[in-house]
Amino acid sequence: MLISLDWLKQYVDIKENTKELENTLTMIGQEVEAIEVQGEDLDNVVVGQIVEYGRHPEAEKLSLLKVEVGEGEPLQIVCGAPNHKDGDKVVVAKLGAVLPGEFKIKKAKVRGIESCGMLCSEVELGIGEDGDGIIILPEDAPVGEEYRKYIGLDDTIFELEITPNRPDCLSHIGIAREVAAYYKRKVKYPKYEMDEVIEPASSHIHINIEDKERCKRYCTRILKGVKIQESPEWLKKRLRSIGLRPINNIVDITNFVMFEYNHPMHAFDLDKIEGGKIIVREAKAGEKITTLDEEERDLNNGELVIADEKKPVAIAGIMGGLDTKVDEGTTDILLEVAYFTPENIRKTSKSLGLSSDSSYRFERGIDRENSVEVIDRAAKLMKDIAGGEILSGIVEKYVEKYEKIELTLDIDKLNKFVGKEISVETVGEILRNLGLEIKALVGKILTVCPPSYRSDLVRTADLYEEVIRMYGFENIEDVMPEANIKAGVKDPETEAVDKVKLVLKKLGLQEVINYSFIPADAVSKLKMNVETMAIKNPINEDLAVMRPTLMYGLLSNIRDNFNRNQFDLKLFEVSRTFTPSEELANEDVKVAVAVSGRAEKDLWNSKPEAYDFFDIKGYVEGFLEYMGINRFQLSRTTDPTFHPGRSAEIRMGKDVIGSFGEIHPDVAEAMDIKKERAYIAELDLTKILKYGKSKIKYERIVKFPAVTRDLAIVLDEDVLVGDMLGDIKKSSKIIESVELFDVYQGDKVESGKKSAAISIVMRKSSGTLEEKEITEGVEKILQTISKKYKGEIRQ
Amino acid sequence: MRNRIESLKLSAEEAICKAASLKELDELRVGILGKKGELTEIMKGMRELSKEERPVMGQLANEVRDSITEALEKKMIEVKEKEKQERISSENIDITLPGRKSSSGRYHPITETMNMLKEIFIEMGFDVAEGPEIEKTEYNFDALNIPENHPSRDLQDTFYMSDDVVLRTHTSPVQVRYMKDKKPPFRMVCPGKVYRSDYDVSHTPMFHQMEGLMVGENISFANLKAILTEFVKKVFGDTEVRFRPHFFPFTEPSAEMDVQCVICKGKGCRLCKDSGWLEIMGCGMVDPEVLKAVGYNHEEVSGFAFGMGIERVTMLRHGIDDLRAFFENDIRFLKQFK
Repeated sequence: MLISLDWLKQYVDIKENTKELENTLTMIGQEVEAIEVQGEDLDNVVVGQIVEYGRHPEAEKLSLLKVEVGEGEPLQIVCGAPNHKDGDKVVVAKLGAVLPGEFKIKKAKVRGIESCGMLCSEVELGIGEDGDGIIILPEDAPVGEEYRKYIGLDDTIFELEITPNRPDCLSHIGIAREVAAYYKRKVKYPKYEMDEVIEPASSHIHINIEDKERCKRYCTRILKGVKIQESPEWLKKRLRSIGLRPINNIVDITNFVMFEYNHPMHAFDLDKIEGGKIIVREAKAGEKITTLDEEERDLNNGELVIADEKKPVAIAGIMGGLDTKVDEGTTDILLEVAYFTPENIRKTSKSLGLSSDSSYRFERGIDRENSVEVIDRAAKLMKDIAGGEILSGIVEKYVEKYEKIELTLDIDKLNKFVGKEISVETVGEILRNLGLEIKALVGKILTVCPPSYRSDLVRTADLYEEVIRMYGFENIEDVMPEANIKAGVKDPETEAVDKVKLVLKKLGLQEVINYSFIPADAVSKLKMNVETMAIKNPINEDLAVMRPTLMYGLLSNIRDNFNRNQFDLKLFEVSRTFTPSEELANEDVKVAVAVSGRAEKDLWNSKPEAYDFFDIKGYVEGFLEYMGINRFQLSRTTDPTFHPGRSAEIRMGKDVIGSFGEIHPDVAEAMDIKKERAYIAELDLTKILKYGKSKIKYERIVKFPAVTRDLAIVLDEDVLVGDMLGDIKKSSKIIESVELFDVYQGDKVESGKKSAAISIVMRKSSGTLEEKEITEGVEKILQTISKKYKGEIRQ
Repeated sequence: MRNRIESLKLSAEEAICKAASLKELDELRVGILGKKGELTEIMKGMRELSKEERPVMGQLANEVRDSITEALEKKMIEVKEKEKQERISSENIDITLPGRKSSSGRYHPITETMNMLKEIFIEMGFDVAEGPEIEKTEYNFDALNIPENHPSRDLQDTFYMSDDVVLRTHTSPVQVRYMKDKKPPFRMVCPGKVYRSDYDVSHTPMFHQMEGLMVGENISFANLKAILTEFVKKVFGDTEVRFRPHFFPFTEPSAEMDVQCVICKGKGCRLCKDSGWLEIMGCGMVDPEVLKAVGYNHEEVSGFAFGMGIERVTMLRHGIDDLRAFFENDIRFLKQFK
């Protein structure tokens, strides 16, 4: 909402400077978002007169001028514009002026002749669109006057953020009331005396409110014999200052009064209203109206319309019809000031996709009590500016009168709520200054009546806000609540997610955060077969469905970073995923890791290798170990997102807790990941928590010596070595660990075979191992290897 | 014999003195004192000496052996030290060559800020709660005094899953669920992702919030100011703060809290649009309608609520000027937050 300081001063005295007023408005809740000081860049720009006109000796198209600027000698100026002559009044940017766009006016030589200033066009001054020639001012323009003063560009415009609860502040009088309340000054409402002719308006118009639910009041006045023309300069200036385009005197006045009182109004051409009737009714099915924006609109949803005997002439409170608009030929005016209920306006405005300054106000709620004041103010301005006469009387229907409400305020309760003692006198004064009527004070209980324009004050809590706001937040000292504080606790999900993120960070991975939305075709790119949840009104196609997996985001991150020439990617994300459910959605937290590319060289003399399956596996194992899952089974996964030969699912019994491996070449292609292979893992947090031992189990370090045996075992190449290691570990109690240190395939073993070299550590916690025990242990290992895995010890 | 022994001593001492390496010294030791060494050779002639001479020569030989041994050891220490010094001076490397990197993982800056804020609130006695991101309109709006067909619904552009299911536009529905479950007094915060259909330079369709709530008997506006001021000072250090009136449907009165601009310290700059202040969070006293909606008696309990955008706090903490960078996941951006 734009507020002109100059305009505001009509209704309240303001002595404060811009900075002080800005601070006051902000601190009483009318936040100043921006301030524009008009004409700021028109320093050293003045009215001048050409007193000598000649041609530049060196250039045919340039004129050489002497320009009087009201001080000292006339200035010598070279000018290239085509549209000036001797004696013209012009706009002169003197030396030192800095025009819009940081254009500094300096002494310059133009084709060898000194020029001490510039004659300006509208474009150069940033005040209009005409750049073809310089501005030629009327003959009576006073030479030497500051140009900004001459054209009235001397206002300061405040851009305020008006909150939805304060529709009354969508107007200059509304803001004036706030300023007056704060500074304890009087509001100066517009003064005018009605000047009616004897002829009654009621003989020309009849009003019928059919829909009494949606229209509570409808007032009209009639003016006859007005002359439609351009508005006077002061009115145009007012409208321009708040960003409105002047149209004609009648329309401009309706806008002016709307921004003065916050009461929308509409002017019809009376001659175009058929049957002398205004009917406020529901639109009939199939009715159409062409609105002022020249759009034809179908009225199919029972919109509230203003109609004459035959047709709708306006969509109530939103926009007038084109057929009945005021134009050059109009002489008689039917002026409407009405009250429509907010919910109705909002609904219609939304369903038609049409909003206006008028609907914006109606849907927030306006003051129906001021209708007479507003219509009189507008009618009088119209008569003064457009001539004609005002017919006698307001023709109106008022179906539901505004009911004053009484609210009580207990000072003790208020003080408890605020946390500070504020005296009853102070509270009374604040409320009175805000226009509330003090009805009674019994003991410490105030009874007050809010003014009709404060539709937001309906509860005691609303009064508390008014008191605190005007008392000043800064005047209420901080008070720590009395309580024994013990540290708060996290809910289980937060606790778990925080731990998971910490673990993955410790493992050396970089966290990423992707949007929860993915394109509708994302799951098919991942070859996934899963039902997704679509957003009804997505921002765009790329952000259309809720993600059932984190993999799409991570793979996109890999591709995008490759495109940025970043090739060392070890990423993780921990977030919710979404799948359909009876109740809202299944929101499962997933843990995903992606590895691709190669490590940045760790030293100038080393050559890093590309990340591979065993990197992602190492991260998964490390992560699970941290989470207290030391034993799990791996099997080849049938998940189509993965490379069938280079992926695994992690199982606890029959329960799959996640999968990892290289992504399927089809997926890499669909995701446009070309330069390196990508490895990814996705695990289900709930299941990890289910199987993970959350507490660390401490084991005393055994002091008795260990015995180590290294074995090389020849196996069929499709034997899963990991499984064999697990079985070896389980084959005897004395086996402390089994480590794989080499896998070999090549000349030295038969084809179709591979050799696995393992190191077995045996130890007893109760004493030193005896030779017999060691032999038995080794025997058990060898049996496991030969029976279950058909392995042979390589000699 | 005496002469031979004494001349051996002299020649040995000279040789030891000249020796330059441990190897030479060892050879000398073997050559003089070893089983086939010169001294041993000389001593073989002892047999030919008279009874009287033998102990005299034996003593002399022992003295010479001790003296040569001592000289050898002394020289050996000297040579070792010299060799160490030579090794040290030959081992110079280019210390300006890059070091071997050891990389640790990193949080996303949003997580890092979120963790910090959570820790501060936990310390101040606030529990942390979670709730659904796909939420009923009833919890996202109605229970928060945001009725349908009211302009306050326009304050947030909403993503709809169906007519009465939305992507939560704030984490406030978590507070509604929490209040329905718990009885006052309590302090809680609810961090998480929220969604609004707004996408431009200063808005992303998903962002993170942390909202909070403190409800009990006698919770006052002065308490709100004290708690939130303490919190902000823990995040931004001892900075000036201010509260100014605002509007939220679920609080009355409502306020916005500003901190002194982190760049210009209040003098006015581009970041703070010359105001000297930066908005940091919204807050207010819980509206009686909200307390009623969750079944509390608003005459008996009161409370305050607050909420802030984590992206904004993160941007202010680290001087980040582009909101969208948070979700582009450019590794070069993310790497900077250690």
